[in-house]
Amino acid sequence: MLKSIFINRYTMTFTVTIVVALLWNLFILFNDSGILSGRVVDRNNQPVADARVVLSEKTLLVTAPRDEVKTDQNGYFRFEGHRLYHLYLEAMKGDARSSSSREVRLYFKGQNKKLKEPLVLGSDR
Amino acid sequence: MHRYPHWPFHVTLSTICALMLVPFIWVLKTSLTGENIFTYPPSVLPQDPHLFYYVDVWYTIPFFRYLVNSFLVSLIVVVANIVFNAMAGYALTREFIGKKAIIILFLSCMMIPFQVTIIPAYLITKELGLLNTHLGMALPVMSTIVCIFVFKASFDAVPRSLIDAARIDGLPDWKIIFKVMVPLSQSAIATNIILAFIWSWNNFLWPLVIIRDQHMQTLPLGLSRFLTVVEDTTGALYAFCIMVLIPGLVIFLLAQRQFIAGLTTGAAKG
Amino acid sequence: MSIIKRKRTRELLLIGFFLAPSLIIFILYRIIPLIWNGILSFEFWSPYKPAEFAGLYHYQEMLFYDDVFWEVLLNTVIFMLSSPLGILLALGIALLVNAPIRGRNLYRTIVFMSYPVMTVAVGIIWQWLYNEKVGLINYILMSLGFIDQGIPFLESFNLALPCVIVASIWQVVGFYMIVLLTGLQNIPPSLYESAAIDGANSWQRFKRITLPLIRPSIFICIVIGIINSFTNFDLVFVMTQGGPGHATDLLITYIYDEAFKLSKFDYAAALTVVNFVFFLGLALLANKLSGGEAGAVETGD
Repeated sequence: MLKSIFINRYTMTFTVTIVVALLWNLFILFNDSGILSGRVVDRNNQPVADARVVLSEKTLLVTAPRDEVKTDQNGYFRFEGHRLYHLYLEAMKGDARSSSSREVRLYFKGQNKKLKEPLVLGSDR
Repeated sequence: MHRYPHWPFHVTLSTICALMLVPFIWVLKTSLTGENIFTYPPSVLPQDPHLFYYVDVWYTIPFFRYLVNSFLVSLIVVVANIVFNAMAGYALTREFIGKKAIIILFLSCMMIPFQVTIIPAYLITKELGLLNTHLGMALPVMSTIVCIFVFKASFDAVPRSLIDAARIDGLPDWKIIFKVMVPLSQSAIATNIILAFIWSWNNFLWPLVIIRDQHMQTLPLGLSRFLTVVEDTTGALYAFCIMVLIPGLVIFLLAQRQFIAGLTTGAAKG
Repeated sequence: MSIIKRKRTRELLLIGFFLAPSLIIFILYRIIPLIWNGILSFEFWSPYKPAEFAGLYHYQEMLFYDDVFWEVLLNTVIFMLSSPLGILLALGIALLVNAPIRGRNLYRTIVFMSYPVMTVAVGIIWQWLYNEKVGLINYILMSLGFIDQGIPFLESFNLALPCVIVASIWQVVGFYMIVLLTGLQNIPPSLYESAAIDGANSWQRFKRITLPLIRPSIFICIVIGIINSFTNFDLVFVMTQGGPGHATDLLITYIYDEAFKLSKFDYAAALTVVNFVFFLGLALLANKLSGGEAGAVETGD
């Protein structure tokens, strides 16, 4: 009797939903430092040092630049503490060499992410 | 009956079911890909499905806030419905003066669709100071006549001897209700929960009339506003549709037997 | 003697206490509004000025000067008269899923599934299916070569109302089916068996046994259809907002617009009275025709 009241498909569905939601929030809690890292290379796949990488916010309502960093000597860059979920990355060095912007979509605000594909400088020219 | 081959039935029914399902499938597909008809070649299966439109919806509008509002209202409605309807249903199983008048009153209330009383109902809610509140949204639907009769039928079906035995044992009325009646009317309770939840979850006109405050909007209101605010975002709009459809559909699929039983008793009762 | 009497009083008090919450809700939100609405329709009133007796002013205005009223009334009638189509369709489906075939429960579930979903979402989905440029319906029609260019279904004065009706039938057909199916399942199989022995063919059996016995269910469906045409606010509001012009406005959406967009509460109240009287007349008529068996139905929303 007790069993049929507390363990049935309604309570199970409800419990599973709650548990999934809790786990998901736990995952968010530990992964939302807003770290976004990646690499900038040129067309010959050589790392580009000291390139500017601009991060722009893109939502259904706004598009605006939010942050900017420079790459180190191995071409790596790293943003920290952004609170965005839909953004564009653009790398440039000097005036002429600008890569086409890269769209990055995240599952929650400030999700930590490492870009697998490097940004390629001058790829659109 | 048995002489007929079955395949014409299956062919016809499959076609009908396909027609019924196409809108659902198409919405689901668009919410996952954002691709519309004019991606060539148009594909039935989603290409590169992703969940980012759902993320867009979650952050573009205060989705969580709407979700909480919808759930709170539904919760109030469901709890109030069970308690009030069970009480009224129990009272109607007893004999008392004026019982007939009460039943006639209930039945005639059934002939008054809520929609036709919407203007004074708005004014009354305003007088009560319940505009822009959860209680205001819930109040008019906190009891449902159909469900009162579902409860009455279920209580009537409890064997008289069982109640008499309990009474001889000296159990007071409220104990009889909780120890004897409630366990025996689980299916009436389930029916009521499901009907009340789905009705209040889908309710649109009443919240539209009494809610002005952005923070008090429920999901249907949010959805209809979303439609007017962002017209071009096909993927996100349909992701939103899927997000509001899921709770109702899940509940329906879990409990369709009770849901259908409730609707048809409601429909068959005079 | 007095003990019994006291017990009786206590019992009555208990019954009163049990009935009170439901009664209060129905009196507060059904009975009082109905009366208030009637009074309001004979007054000049708006939230900013005191009430003043108006007599039949609003009714005269409505009947003799308001062309839109007649248009939305006609729309409501058309909407209502379309419900037999849905019922016929549902009857066909109900007969099919009542046959002893495998998977009939799955078929029932799928056909019924569109009923409990949120009407606002249904409206959005159908609005998009009808879309001139990206709608599925136009795409299929074009692929099949019926048309060269997309038809703006919901912007067309002639097509908008039928399109809304199709969406509405799509949503409610499963409910009709379930009601009819319940009726079908209550027919004792022995009747069919003896008819078969008497040599009745299937059409005769349908006409002589099935139809008369599911008559109450059919009338319930008709009442649901009537209620639907008077209360179907969500679909019209989302799909067309009553447009183009007033081509898809029903009485209920017109009342909403007059009351809550234009603040003409008094005039809207008069419209509501007409709406209700019209509805009640039809419902009673249907009830009478069915021999009093199709009682009241509540669709809930």
